[in-house]
Amino acid sequence: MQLRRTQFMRWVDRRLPPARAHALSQKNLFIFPSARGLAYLAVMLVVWVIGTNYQNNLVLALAFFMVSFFVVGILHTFLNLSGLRVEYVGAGDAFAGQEFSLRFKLVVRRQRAVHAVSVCWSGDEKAGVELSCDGQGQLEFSVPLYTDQRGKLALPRMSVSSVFPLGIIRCWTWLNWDVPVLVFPAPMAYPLHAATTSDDLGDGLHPVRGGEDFSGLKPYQPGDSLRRVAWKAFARGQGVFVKDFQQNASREHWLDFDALQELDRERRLSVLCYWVLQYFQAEEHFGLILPTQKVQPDKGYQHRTRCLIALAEFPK
Amino acid sequence: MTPLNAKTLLWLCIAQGMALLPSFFQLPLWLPFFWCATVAWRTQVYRRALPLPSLRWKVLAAALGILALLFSFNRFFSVESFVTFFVIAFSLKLLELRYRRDGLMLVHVTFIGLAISFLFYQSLLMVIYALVVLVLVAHAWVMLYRGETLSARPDWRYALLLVVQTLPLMLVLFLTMPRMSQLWNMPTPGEQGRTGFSDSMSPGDFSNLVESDAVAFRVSFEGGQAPPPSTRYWRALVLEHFDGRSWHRQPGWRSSLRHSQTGQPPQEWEPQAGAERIQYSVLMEPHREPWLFSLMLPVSASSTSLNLRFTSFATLSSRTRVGSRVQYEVTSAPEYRWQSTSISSFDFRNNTQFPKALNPQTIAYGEGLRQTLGSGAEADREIIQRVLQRFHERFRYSLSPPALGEHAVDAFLFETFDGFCEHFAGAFTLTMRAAGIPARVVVGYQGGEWNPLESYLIVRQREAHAWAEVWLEGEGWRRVDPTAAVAPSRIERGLSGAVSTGEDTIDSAAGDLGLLLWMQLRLDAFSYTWQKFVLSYDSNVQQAFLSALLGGAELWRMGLFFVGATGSLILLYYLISTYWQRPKTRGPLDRALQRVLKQCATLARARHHGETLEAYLSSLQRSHPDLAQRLKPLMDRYQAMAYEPSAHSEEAIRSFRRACRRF
Repeated sequence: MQLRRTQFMRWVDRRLPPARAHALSQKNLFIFPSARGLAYLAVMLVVWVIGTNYQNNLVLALAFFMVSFFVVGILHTFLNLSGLRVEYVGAGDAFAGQEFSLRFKLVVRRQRAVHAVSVCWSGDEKAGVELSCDGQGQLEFSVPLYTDQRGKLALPRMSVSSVFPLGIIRCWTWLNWDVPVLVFPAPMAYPLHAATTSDDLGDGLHPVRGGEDFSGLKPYQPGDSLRRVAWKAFARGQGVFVKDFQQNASREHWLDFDALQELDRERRLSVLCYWVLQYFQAEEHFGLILPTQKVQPDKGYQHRTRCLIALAEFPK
Repeated sequence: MTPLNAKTLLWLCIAQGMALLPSFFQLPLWLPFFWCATVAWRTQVYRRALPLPSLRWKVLAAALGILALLFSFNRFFSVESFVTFFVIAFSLKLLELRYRRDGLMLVHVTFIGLAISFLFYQSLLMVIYALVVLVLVAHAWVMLYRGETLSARPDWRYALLLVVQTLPLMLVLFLTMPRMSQLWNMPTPGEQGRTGFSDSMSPGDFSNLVESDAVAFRVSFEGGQAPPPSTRYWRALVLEHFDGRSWHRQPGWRSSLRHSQTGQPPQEWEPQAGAERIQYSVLMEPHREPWLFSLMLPVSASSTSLNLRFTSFATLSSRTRVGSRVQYEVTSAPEYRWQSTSISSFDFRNNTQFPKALNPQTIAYGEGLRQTLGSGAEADREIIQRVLQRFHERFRYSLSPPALGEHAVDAFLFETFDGFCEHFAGAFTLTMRAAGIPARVVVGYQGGEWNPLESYLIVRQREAHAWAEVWLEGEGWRRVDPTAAVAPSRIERGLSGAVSTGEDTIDSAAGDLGLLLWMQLRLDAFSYTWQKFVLSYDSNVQQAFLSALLGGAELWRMGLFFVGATGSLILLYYLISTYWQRPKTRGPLDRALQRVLKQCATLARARHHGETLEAYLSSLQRSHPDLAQRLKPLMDRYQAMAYEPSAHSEEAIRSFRRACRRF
């Protein structure tokens, strides 16, 4: 049974290769009566037996109506999902041990409304979202996900299903996402006694990005703070630049992997992660020393993300 | 667990109430009130005026329902008691509804309720009513599963669409699905709806039936021609036992049903070989009795819905009581003899017995005739003639004869001279028996109204009739209708022609021939067609119809027709809905984009089928970066406009098309 199941899933994977956007069509939609559909068919059988035993053509016709209604229901259940597109939009920060959400977009290119489409990760049917859309437009939604493993996350299949209009037939698909999701270690509060390498001298030997002293313009990159955009240059039509500041840090923290000798690897990463977040909050300068790489001291959101990525990608 | 929405529940209840409404007329009076009470309770729960009932209340309500059920029925295994129990059960279930899945149960109950209503009523009007109910059910059902957050709800049009799309499929199934014979016997519904005569005859029985315009059966003849009115004697029952007042079937009459092979009439019947045969098809209303109706001597009979057999009285009978409308085909021989050479001593004894203590005058009259005329076949014929002559001279045919005393036949023959067919038949048969001639009473129908619009005969309850049969040596059993001697027009022109004026209401209706009569005949023709082709669509009719339609009734033809018809219907629905639902603005935008993509196909490569624009663009970026560079802004604009129809105007579309043309 288990074997057949995995074989089936392998077949599903072949049929639905990972992608960043999926168009739902007869190629990837599955349709089957639900348990309630079987109950409905049982009621249909009862009506048929009544009709046959009383040799009553109208009761038989009612039984045939029920079968035909079921068949029409299959078509309409399929039509509710067919032609929709689901696209990946992006992800927020993902920490192990915390629920995080991935954002997707439902694109409807038809006039008919989309009713009660439930989206969830396969294997976790309870936590999901139900989507409805009045037709022609798009709808952003996020699906919560949970993992306790840091690092590159292989997304589970996303189940997109609907039982509208009759509730007795289920139409669904499993979408595979070709989407990089990096899960940062779970932050763990822990004192950083000797782990902090402070340059107490403050003689400015470590020029760090960010600070108060203007040092020139550099081209805008997504993620740069809008407050730092050189609006005057922009108004002159020279393009989008940001003002670059530098400061000679007077005090900087070093987060050192090897300084946390008493903890195992994952815990050390968790502690470092916690402090990365703490220092970012406090807008302090910090650097990160891992056995594999060294991140120079800096501050700001991009720096924080760089550090977190380094932690998440630390070899297991 | 999605809770059940109040409005949806209300619609479900309305659909269910409408599905059950017809059957409520056949069920105990308190039942609709019980149902309404539970519905009211449930709605009060939604309005938060009442809590959901506790277990104690539910048990109390159930006990009340069961108690009422016990008091309402003295027969437990009847359709009505089952249906009542069923209605009580789901009314109680109504009090427990909480979640959406329970709503689906209401839908199921509605279907069963509709099936039950069809057991009681099968007219075309009922079918139209049922279609309305089905649209209601579909509406409530879709409400159950629709997206709750949507502003636009699936409306009535959607429910109507579902039902309308279902009907052609249903028709295909109805025409092609093979019909099974009864799987097991069921109690027949509607015991109170009994019409027609019973298996005994006493004075006054038939004059009650005269009031009834109800149709007993309809007959269409092979060749479209009915035999003349004077020969339309529809035999149903032969009554041999006389108790001084009423005629009954012989006790132990079951022995006469020993011929149980269908299609095989008893040997002692002697249809004249080589003579013409009358073929006809009888569509009979249910009368909850086993006997059937046939003309003259039936020589073969068949039916798909009935288990037919021949009785030794040359009548047809069904193995079970006829509880639903049935159709059967008969071939009758108009020329026949029957036990012509001899009569068994058992039959002779049965057909000459009468209680000696009652009706002394009649007995003396019969014995007197025998004494004066002597014995022998000639004398027998003379006796019959004398009695008929007496009826013809002295008696009057009347719908409301005076009451008769203890010696009923004496009172009729010698005091009142006023009677209806059962009086004449009974008195005649007794006189014959007193004279030593084997005689018996036959009941059935005589005549029928010809409907020229669809060429069939309508036989109504008021045409119920009784006559006599006598056994003559060398001739066998022969029909003698004493009523014909009194009022020949009853036989020739039907009842309304026979009854003297000033006595009767039927007369006025019959006098008003013209539009009214035509409408009545038209209506009946319509309902006959409905019954013959829809309600009686059995495997025989199916075979005939499908072979006419498909040029043969082989299995592969039927299978091909079924698959072809259902498949093309579903395909049609699919195409229609995708065509109707296509995006409005797709046209100009897509045409412009297609033009651009065609150019790209010549410059680089064509877009694969099903490949998204993004995927295509990113693959071009690798192979033809400069082309992709030019393509990208167009694609971005296209995406923005196609997916956000509110964000673009006529102007934007025009400018996009210009940009595409420039490309």
